[in-house]
Amino acid sequence: MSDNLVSLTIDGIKVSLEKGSTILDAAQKKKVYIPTLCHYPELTRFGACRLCLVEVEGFRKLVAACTTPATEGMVVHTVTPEINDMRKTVVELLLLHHPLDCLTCDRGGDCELQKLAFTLRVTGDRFGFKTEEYPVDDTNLFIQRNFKKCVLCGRCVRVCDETRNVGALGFYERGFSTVIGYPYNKLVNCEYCGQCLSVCPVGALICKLSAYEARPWQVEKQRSICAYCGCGCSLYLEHKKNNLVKVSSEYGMGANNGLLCVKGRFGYDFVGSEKRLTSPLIKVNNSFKQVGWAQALGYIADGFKKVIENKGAQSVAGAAGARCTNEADYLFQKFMRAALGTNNVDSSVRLEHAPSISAMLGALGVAGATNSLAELKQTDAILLIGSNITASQVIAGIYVKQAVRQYGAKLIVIDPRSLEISRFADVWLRPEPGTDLALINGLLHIIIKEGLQDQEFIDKDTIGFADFLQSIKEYTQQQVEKITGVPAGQLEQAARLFAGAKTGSIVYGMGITQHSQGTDNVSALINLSLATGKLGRKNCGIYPLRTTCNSQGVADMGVLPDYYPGYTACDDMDGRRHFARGWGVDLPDKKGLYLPQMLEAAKEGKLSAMYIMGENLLSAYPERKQVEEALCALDFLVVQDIFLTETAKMADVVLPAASFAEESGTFTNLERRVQPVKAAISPPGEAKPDWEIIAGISNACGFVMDYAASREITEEIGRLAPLYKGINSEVLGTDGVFWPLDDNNKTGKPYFSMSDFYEGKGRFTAVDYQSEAENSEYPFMLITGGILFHHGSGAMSNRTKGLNYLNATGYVEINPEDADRLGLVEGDLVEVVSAGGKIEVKAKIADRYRSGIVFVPGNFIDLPVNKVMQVKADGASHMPAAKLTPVKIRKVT
Amino acid sequence: MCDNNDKPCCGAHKEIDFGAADEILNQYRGKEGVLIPVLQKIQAEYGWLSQPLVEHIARELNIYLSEVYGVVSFYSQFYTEPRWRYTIQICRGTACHVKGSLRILENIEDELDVKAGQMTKDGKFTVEEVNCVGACGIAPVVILGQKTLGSITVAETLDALRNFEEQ
Repeated sequence: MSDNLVSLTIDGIKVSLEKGSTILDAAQKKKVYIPTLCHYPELTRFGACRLCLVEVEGFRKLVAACTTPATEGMVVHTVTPEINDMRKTVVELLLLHHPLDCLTCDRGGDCELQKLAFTLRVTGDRFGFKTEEYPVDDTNLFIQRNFKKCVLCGRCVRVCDETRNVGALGFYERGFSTVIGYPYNKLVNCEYCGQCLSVCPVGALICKLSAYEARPWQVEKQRSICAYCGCGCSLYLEHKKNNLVKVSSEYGMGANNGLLCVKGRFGYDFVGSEKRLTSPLIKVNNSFKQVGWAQALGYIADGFKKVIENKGAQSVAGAAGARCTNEADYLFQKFMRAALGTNNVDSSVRLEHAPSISAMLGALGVAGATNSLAELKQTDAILLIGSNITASQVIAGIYVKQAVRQYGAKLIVIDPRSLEISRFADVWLRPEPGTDLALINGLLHIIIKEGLQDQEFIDKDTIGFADFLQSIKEYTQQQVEKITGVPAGQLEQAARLFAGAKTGSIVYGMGITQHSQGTDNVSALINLSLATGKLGRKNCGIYPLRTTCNSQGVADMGVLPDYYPGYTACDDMDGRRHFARGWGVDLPDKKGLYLPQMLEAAKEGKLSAMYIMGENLLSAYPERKQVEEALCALDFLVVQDIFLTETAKMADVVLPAASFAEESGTFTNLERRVQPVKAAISPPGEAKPDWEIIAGISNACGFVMDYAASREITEEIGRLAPLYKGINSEVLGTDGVFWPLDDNNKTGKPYFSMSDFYEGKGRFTAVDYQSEAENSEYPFMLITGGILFHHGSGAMSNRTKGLNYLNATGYVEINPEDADRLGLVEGDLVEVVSAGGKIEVKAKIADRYRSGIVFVPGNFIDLPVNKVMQVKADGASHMPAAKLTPVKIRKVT
Repeated sequence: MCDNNDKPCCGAHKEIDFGAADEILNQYRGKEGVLIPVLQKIQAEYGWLSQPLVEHIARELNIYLSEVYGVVSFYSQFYTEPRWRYTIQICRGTACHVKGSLRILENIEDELDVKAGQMTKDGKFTVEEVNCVGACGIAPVVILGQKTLGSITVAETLDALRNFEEQ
């Protein structure tokens, strides 16, 4: 027997398990039932409820199974008359406070106390004791707390503190007066994630949005994937009579380990919105007319045909959003390429992580996070740059926080903003906006100067080190301090911390990519990984934080003008032949137009028709005017979406699509995990899944697409797209797989080894920082970005009741000093003016930013900040970069 | 203005000078397990722990407000309501109870027109029940300000109270 195992006997059953386990662990391993209430997996052992009392031979008293370590030779009994009496009394005591209103309780039928009372035959009210009355706590917009029902198990307090690292809840007072709640009834840190709700064993916490909608046994649960950010959280869509009534999750589920954020848990009701599109619309004399599918599809086929006959296939283009399934994305580009004969197809990935794709393909030959999200927890040093991670990719943010607080990792945060995550940082560097590249090169300079690089790794596994060395020569501490404003001492501390750690990962967001040097920024980060040997093994990787549920997938599926599915270059002859054979047609050999080029071409009259799927381009594109002018100039525009968005209003034909809850297929999350998406309900009215619509148009155009179900498309992708080889619905299971699979590995690769990269090497890229001229007429720097309560350009999240309770309108955030100087107070109406345009918006005074920087969230349909933003293209990736725009601020009087 | 008209201001609306608190916080910053001594010292300076003070302490020590308030509300030594410098502590331990401390308490409550745990309207006294103070030999015991009164009767207690001299 191994040294680190212990064996014991529970109710006559022999169990052996790891040392340090508890009696409860042992019992659960053998499926011996011990009732619990305060126990919850992964939370600290609490031992408060006393329901798990068991008898151990040789012990004088009964012991709590959840806190007592299992030791060698223990003989445990879980069922004796004495234990039964004890447990019964415990439940009777709990029922002192607990009203027996199970008939109308929202948790009736799904309540752990009810189940215990049933199992132990407790009828309640044995003592006839009157306890204090408490009013229910309605402080939280989503969650009602009923103190009388609370059993003080503390699960909500612990999950908020230990798992979420938020700490909004606590125990107050003592003895009989003990209550759980918010300090001073104030929601201090609460992020409205509702995790407390998901762990409450009883009806003490009730979701106000879904209360009394349905009894637990009336709902059906469909496991699927969240439609918001790129984390790809597994969730249950609970539905009754074709209505979504609730979103829930379960411990241990999916990439998110059962955690959800406010958007995922409470932002689902856009699905049932009355504003959903329910039938195809054709524009006649500037107003929309409802038509049947056959008429709409015929009209579209004629429209495309006419344009192609007159102006050629290069005069049509397609753009897809990142919210559609892989199957829809795959068909979309197949339709554009095979049916219409053009490579003019691009996606909204162009607006977020195109630089990541071009830099990573160049340096490593793969485009996507090199490691899995869960590995972040085990990483010794994390460098987080250009991301408000706890708002935009909440679950990834939780893993970073857990790495720091629960596993002792070191965290380096690089961001000019004071963010929630900054509180967890060991080193927080605050560079001037737009100087990240100089800063990263500065870190590399220190690493080389102090000999902290991993030379063995560099010699064996990389190419281009010598040229790279030359390129960073000038980035001395003094020089970098001058450019970035970051003190040399802090730079050194960060460099040593990252280079010195055993394992380390780099996590970055759009603060890195949405710049005119976006691709260079990403290259510099890859250089940092390579120089410190932190790539190509477990817990060492680089993570581009994708913003939407299928941002990774839409690029993987080749909704890009220069790549076929699986990043097969269009100008690669073998690759083209492969897809031409697979699709049974000749394919265009010229690379297509990138999204910004499409808009230019439309304005110049070289592009005459567009097909836009699942993206409100008018809001999402950083320069609104560009899109307006381009779309106006088109002869024919087809928009397929779930709402009549601003973009859809400009279309000639609008097609009603299914939402994530109504469509089956797959999403690929930011860690390359391909996960099954399953329809829970059917779409409203005549709306159809995206893939069915595309197939319908294609058939009407004469290019046959014959699929009975999305499953068949998944299989076609698995046959044709290199990275998705072997992926089909069977392999996917419930938890999905990490691409790529190979013959011996059916669950894929959570992390890449060096041998998975192109020719088994990482390539250094020499990159140089270019400063941008300051403009005294526009003294403020406008940063745009996302906030916790909304997503993307707001097309979905702005249409949910719950999220709008929390935050329904946009604002401009201004530093108190600047506000004083401009004579502004909170709520004043101001004008934000750039060389490109202006918006009027209310001022919010906050000290998250330094003087000279203002922030406007890009998440609000009603606040088109892209009227102000100005694009500078990132040459390498054609990214229309607009993270920073020089502006001036004027008070509106 | 504070809308607690029957009580002195709760403090939540007034500007508080955190100077004295900061001095104490500076001595403990960066150390582990310092919350209780910090709370004790700061309370000794301010008399009680108002909400803005507790929020300030949480922020400065980078501890969740929920945790700090949990500690503050758990221990009876911490005061979350304003109180004057003078407390009247009536021992309600077993020995004092037997010796009639309940009657003493009730009489003090009547005399001052407050309930245990509250402060008098003029803000002079706070009346408190405490569990055994460890002087059962001289039960019943009342601690009036700094002074311990042992083997005391109701009449003597009220006399002492009426003749209490502020220090």
